[in-house]
Amino acid sequence: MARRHPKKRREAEIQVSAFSDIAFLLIIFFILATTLVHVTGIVADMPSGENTKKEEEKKTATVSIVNDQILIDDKNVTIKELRKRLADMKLPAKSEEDKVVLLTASGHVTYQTYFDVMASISAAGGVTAILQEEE
Amino acid sequence: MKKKRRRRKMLLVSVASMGDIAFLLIIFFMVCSRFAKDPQVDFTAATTQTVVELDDYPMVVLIDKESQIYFQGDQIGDATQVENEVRRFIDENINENTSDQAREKMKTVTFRCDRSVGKHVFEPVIEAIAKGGGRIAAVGEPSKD
Repeated sequence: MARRHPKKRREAEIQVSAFSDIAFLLIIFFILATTLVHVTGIVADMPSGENTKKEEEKKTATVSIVNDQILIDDKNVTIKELRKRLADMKLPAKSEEDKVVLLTASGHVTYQTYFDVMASISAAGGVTAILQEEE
Repeated sequence: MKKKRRRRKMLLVSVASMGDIAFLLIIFFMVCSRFAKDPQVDFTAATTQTVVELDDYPMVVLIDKESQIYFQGDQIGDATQVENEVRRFIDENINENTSDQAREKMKTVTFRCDRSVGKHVFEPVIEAIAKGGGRIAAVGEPSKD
């Protein structure tokens, strides 16, 4: 009887070369979808709208923006002067109620000016209370 | 004289480990990234002298250049809807067991507004957020001056 030849075992191979392609596609997706930029801005504490009228009755500082011009207690000021005036008020040392600064806007006012004023009030330690003009 | 032919060696670059590196990078990006809640809209941030780094707050309100209002990436009609959405979100996510820190975070709304938008659009929205019980984290960039 002829001697049996041992069968050659086939090596099972799984093709993994396409894996890296998939992986790199996923990387590209994540790179595009990721935001690495840190979001910056201001946190403005605001009393809810119902309380605004009460704040109005008290003698609090009022900042008005009329056609992108800033006024504090009816005096025209630049943004730098406003920051100085607010810093002089020493708002952080005051009680929560006295920290409130009323903010009104009328005429054509852009968000840029409004944001700058709101940021100045927050930076000075104040609480912004929006006073909407009646239509 | 007979010349010996030199056998050229085949240069093989092993790329087997490339897949491992790629997957490690994927894991890194998956862990580090967060999906943007803002739709891809035309938006230029306002600038000011002092800004702080803002946390990642769960509520996002956006007003684009065309004065369209978005809440959590979905376009909504007007300021009244913003107030309702903010109130609903706070009611659903804050209860008596919520810690003060988590409460503050849940109440804070990331507010993005294009710098050129007029008062008649953004002011009612800010007012609506405040009325809904929210606190505003207004997104802005530091000015150069």
